[in-house]
Amino acid sequence: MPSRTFCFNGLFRKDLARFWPIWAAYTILWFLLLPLTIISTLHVPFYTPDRIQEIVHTMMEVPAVLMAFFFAVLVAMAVFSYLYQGRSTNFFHALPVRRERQFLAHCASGLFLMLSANVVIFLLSLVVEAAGGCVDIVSLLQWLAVVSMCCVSFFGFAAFCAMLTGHILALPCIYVILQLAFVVAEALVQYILRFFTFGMSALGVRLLFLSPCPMLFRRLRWHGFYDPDTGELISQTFQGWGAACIYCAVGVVFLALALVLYRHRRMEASSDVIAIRVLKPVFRWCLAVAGALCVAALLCMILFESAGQMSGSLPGVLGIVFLLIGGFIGWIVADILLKKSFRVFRDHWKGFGIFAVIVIVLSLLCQHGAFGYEKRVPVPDDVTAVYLSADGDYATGVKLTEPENIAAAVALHESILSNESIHEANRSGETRNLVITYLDEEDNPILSRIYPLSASADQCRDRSSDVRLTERLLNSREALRSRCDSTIEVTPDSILNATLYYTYINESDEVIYYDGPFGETVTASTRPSDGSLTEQEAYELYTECILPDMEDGNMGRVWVIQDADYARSTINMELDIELMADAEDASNEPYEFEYLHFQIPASATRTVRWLEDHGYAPETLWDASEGNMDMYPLY
Amino acid sequence: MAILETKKLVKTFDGFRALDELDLSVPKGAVYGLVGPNGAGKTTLIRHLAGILRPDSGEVLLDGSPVYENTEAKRRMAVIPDDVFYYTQASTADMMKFYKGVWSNFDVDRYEKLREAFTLDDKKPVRTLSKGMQKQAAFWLALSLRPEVLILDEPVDGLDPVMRRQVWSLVLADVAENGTTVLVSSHNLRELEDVCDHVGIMNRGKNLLERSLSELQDNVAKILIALPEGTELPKDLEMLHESATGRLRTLILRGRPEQLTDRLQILEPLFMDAVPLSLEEIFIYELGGADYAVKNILL
Repeated sequence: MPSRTFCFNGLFRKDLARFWPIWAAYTILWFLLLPLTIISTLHVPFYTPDRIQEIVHTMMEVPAVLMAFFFAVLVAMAVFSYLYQGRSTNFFHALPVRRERQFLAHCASGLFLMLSANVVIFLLSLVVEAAGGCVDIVSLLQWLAVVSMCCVSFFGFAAFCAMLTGHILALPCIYVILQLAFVVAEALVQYILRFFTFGMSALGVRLLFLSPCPMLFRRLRWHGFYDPDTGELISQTFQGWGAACIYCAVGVVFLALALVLYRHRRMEASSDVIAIRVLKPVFRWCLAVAGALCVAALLCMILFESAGQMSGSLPGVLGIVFLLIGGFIGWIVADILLKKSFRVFRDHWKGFGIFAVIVIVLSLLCQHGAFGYEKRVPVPDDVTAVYLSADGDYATGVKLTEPENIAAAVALHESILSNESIHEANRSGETRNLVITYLDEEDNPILSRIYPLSASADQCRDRSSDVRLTERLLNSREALRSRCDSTIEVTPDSILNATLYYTYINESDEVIYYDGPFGETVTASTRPSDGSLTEQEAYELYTECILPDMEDGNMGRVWVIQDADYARSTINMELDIELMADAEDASNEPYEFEYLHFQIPASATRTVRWLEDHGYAPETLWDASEGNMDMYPLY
Repeated sequence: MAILETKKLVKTFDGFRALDELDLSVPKGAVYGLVGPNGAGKTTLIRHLAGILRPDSGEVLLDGSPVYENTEAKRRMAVIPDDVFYYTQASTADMMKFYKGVWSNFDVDRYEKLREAFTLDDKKPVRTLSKGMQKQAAFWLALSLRPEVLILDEPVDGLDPVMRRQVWSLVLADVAENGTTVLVSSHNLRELEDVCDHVGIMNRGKNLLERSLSELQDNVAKILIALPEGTELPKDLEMLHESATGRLRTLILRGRPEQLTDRLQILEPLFMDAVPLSLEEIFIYELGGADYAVKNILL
């Protein structure tokens, strides 16, 4: 009986003989990225071995993911190309080789093409480093491991996609679309719902884990920490081993799934866009959903964001219409691709009818809050902290943990909901976006919302309006303290840099004109310019002025409404302090950093006096603007 | 005894029933001609016999064993489709090496001996050869496998008359010497008549009839007859076709020629002669009964 490996070797060798150009292209690109870069770095005067390490580890991030992502699908298209033409399909499946063996032979050749190239690059880099006298085999092995895991992950997925289709051009399309589909769909749904659901917030991308490519971009990270004085690499860390291993394992699972699909594949499906019969209706529905989301998002963006918000039920109706238009387009395109004909308008209307009904029902349910999203408010006892942030001022964001502040936040939330009609009616007018996020004990978000609070003149005049309540809560005692406090002890040694700068300078002061280096006209103010403080100056300002002013309740305030009160109460200078200290847990990073920002109120008398004593000319925004009521209205 | 069989074979493509409970039986050592109109399902059947397609129901058997996903069964077969595949830039010699890597029983000595029969440069890429020469390469490789069963789909299409004769003589020599079973699908009925000893006629996914050629020719008679005036033909005659030129009538009747002539002799015809039918005529008149009418087109 002939050996089973006999046939395997024949197919395996033939693949390698046919597709060696892909191997060559992949190897050459990696050669340019890694060994050649090392060679050029070795020839740079005063290079350090740390620099070589940095290069190797940088190649474990985006380049590793991108190269594996692109070449995996290219290799899959090559080794499985025989499935996409009737002639070659018939030839290969008439061979006395079982399907599993065929699949394994082609998969083995595909993986070999990529993994062997990785080994070659590893060896070449080792040789280059040895020649330069800076061998770091550990880093190179790490690079080899990460790159190889990425290759397995993406090739497994590409092989799976290869089994879904019978058309070679559909393979890369399906591969890319499935990599990004969940993330994009989630973002589009959140974007569209923003226009129709009061309080809909961008929750972040929760489904990113279903998209290996962007997920690995985010997770594979190398951090190197350099001594600020000598520039020497003190420590380094590479994060993302867990993600790389998990996605590698997922790639193996996809290979197994691909084998199952291959064993049951109908060979007559070559040249079909979707090779698996039961997936054809799924494809149709998916394309309809994709069309609905894309067209609706585009039209909503054009109509509602650019042209301004509309009120009443018209936006809701338009939203449904946009979804149906997009869904129809997607449905027709799917039919055209499946039938390979443009004559599809007479078929499958029943299916699209069902789709349309579902879209209309779901949209109406969302718009009328049937899922309880809009009305949901957490119980204060379940909340450990609440994060608030509002437009209109820099760094308003604050995390409140005191029970009375949490209860006030919940009460504010309920008030906003009861005044929904006021806020919705003013969507196209003056608004302030309030972000409110409730957190549990582990700092995980329980609920998050964004509300466009009406900041009309009436609302600004009314001290009990939602926008004014928001401002009061953002300036609670706890909030003021948190803005001024620092987790890093402020000492002259911990201050990295401190900058004072003017936020408003009267235009009449800008009297100096001169030609810039490129022939442009440059203006300069006659006022004292922004200044960098020394560590001692910043320490003195912080400890002797800012902290006492904060104790008096005169520092750390933020303004949601920039009216005349604000202008009269705030001076035209702000202070930034950057702090650095040794990290408590040095296993990840040796240092930690913190940034403090202070908008200086006129009532912070100690701070204002210090500025005057040190040659600055602070004045209120009201005075600086000469009482400009267009800029700072009086309510 | 049948070496290649199908039993109630069904295959549907997107609602279209290409094979409709098809039964086929190819005796061992036979040269079986598979004939049928366009769209009858011949190529679909061949793909099932080669183990390429999976049937929806029914069986495809080689010596009693299912063919699908059976490497031992496939190793005993060689298939030459109507559209042959070669690797891009591969020469016949390259394909030979590939075949050798897959079929351990590939006979390299035979390959070298057949070099004299096929006037090809086996170092040249096959895709640069003409269609006929590509077919020659396919035969060269297939015959070197020394298969027990050889399945041919429109095999001599593109071959010149000399090469056709050459190829058939090689194939028939294998049949005679090694008991190779051949199944050949073709529209060239005149050629099949010369090589086949069994015929199967397919239409609309079914095997209408399947007989040895001699039985087939014994079952249909072509009789030229001129009857006296007023004499009618017996009504119970199974008439497949009738035409007349003056008083001379041409009758295509189902039945044994001797029996039919005996019956008609009673009518004391003025003239009567039974002539053999060609396979083409049998094909046309058998399918005429299966709603595949041959239209007389007047130009």
